[in-house]
Amino acid sequence: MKRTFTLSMAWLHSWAGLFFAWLLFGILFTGAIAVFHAEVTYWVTPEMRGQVHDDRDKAIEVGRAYLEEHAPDARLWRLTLPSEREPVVKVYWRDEKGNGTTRRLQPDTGETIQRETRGGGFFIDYHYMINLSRKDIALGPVGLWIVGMAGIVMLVACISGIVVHKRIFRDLFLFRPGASRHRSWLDAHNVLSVLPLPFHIIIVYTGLVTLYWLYVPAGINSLYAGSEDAFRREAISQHYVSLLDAPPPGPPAPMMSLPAINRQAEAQFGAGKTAYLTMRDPNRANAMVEAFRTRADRVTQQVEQIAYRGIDGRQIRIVEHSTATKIQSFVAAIHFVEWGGAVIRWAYFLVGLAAAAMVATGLVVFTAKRETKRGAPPWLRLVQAVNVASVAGLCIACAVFFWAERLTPADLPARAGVPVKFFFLSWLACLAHAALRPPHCAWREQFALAAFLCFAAPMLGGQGWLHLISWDTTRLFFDLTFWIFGAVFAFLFFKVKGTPTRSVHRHELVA
Amino acid sequence: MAYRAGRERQGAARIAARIVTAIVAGYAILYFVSDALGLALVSAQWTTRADAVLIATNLAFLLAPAVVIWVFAAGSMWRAVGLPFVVAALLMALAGVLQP
Repeated sequence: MKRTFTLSMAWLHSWAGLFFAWLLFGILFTGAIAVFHAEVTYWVTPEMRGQVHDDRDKAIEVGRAYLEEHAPDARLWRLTLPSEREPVVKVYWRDEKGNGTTRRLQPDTGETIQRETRGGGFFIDYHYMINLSRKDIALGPVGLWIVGMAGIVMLVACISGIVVHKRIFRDLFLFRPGASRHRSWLDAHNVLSVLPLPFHIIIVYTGLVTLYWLYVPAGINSLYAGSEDAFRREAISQHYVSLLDAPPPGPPAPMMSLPAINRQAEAQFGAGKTAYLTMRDPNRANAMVEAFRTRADRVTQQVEQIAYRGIDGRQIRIVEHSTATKIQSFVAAIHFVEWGGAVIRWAYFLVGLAAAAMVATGLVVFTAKRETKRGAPPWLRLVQAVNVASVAGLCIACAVFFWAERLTPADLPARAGVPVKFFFLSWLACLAHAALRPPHCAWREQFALAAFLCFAAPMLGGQGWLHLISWDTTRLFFDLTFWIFGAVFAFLFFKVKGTPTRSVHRHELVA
Repeated sequence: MAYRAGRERQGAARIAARIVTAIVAGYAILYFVSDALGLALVSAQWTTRADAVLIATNLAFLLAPAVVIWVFAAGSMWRAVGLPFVVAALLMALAGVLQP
C-alpha cells in the first residue's frame, strides 16, 4: 500500500502493532504468570502445605468420603490426587444444570480448605479469553476470538518486523543505551524480539492449535452438522462428558474400592502416575470409573485414560488416539507446559516475559518516534495514556490481584470473584490516572506503585517468614520473584525520568 | 516517514477498506480453506472426519498471517480488497461443492 513492500510492512508493523499491543501485553504477561498457575494457587492458599503425601489410597478415600456426603446425587465426580505442585485432594462434581463445584481437602486429615480461589486459573482465563467465559456471554466465545485475532496479528507483526528490520541480525549487537532515548528503546525492542523470535512464533501457533475447533468451526459445521458435542466426543473425548443426552442413571449399587481401581490403573501408568479419577453415575449399577495419567513427565496433552466398571472394577476400555490427534496433543502440550518440571517452566516464564517486554518497548518506540522537536500529533496524548495503562497499569492490576488474594478473608462468601474484581477496578483506575497525568509522570508514578506493591506482597496477610523456617521453597522463590519484579519496576521508575523530547531526534535529523 | 499519509493517497476510507478486508475476507479464507480441505480429505477417504478437521484447520492457520500481509502489501485496491473477497467466494463455492 506504500511505495515499497518494506514501507508497507513498516506501516502495518506500527499500526497493527499499536492497537494489538494494548491487548497483547496483558495476554503475554498473564500467560507468563500462568506457566506457574499451580504455584500461584499454592501461594495464595496458605492452608496448602508443601509436604509430600505418599499415602495415595488415603487421599482417594478422603475424596470419596467427601463426595458421598456432599454430592451423592451428582452424575459426575472428579477426584484429583495430591501432586508435588498442588499437595491437596481436589474434588469436583457437576449438578443437573451442568454447574461445577470444586473443593480442596487436606489429603491426610480430610479437612476442607474453606478458602475459595481461582488462583492461577484466573491468569489462564485472562490469557486465553480475557476472562470472558463462554457461559457469561450470550454472543459466544468472544474473548477467545479476540485473543485468537491478537495471535494472528502477533504473527503478522513478527513477519513484518523481520522485513522492517532487515539488518536486524547485525543490529542485534548494537545496544546503544546512551545513544538517544528512541534508539535505546528500539535496540531493546530488537533484542527482545530477535533472540526469542522462534519462541514467539511457536508459542502463538501452538496457542491457536490448542483450541483450533473453536477458532474455526468450519469442520464442525460441515462434517458434524454443527454439533460441537459430537465433535468433542469423537476428536477430544478427554474430559468431555455430556450429561444432557446421557441415559438415566441405573439403580443404586455400591462401587468398588477406588484405591483398588487406581492400583490397577497405576500398574499400567506407573506407580504414582494417576493424576485424577472421574466417576460417572457414581454408586449406581452403571457406574464408570476412569483413571487419567499425569502430564508431568510427557509432552502430551491428551493423556492415557483407562475406564473401569464401577461395581466390579473390570476394565471397560482404553482410549486410543489417532496419529493426528497425538500430533495435535504434542503441539498443544508445547503450549501448556505441564511437562518438563521447574527448569522448563522458568524458561517459558522468562521468554514469555521477554515477549511482553517486546510489546511494551514497541509501544514506547511508537510514541518516541512521533514526538519530535516540532511537537507531536494531538492524538498521541491519548495513545500514551493507553500505553501506560495497558503496560504499567496491567502490572499493577496483577499485583493488586495478589494483594486481594492475601487480604480477602478465607471464609468470605463468593470469595473467588473478589480478587478478580480488584484486578479490573485497579486497572480502570490506572487508565484514569494515565489520562489525567502527563505521560512521563504517569509512567513513573505507576511504576513506583507497581514496585511498592511487589516489594510488599510477600509481607501481607500475616504470612511473615514462616516458610523460611519450614523451608517451603515454592513460597520462597515466589517471594523472591516478587522482589525481583519490584526491583525491575523501581529501575524503570528511575529510567523514565525527565522530559526527553529535546535530544530525541538528533539521530533522525542526521539520517 | 512512512506513517505520514497524504503523499501516498491513502485516504481513511482506503485504509478502512483494507482493515475490513483483512478481518472479514481474511477470516473467510481461513474458514473456507479449512472447510474445503477437511471435506476433501474426507471424500478422498484419507482420514477420519475428526482427523480431517484437525489437519485442515491447523494447516489453515499458517495461511492467515500471509493473507493479512497480502492485504496490506498489495499495490492496487483491486489486488488488496477485491482479490481476497473473490478468493474467499471461490473457496466457499468449492467447499459447497464438496459438501456431502
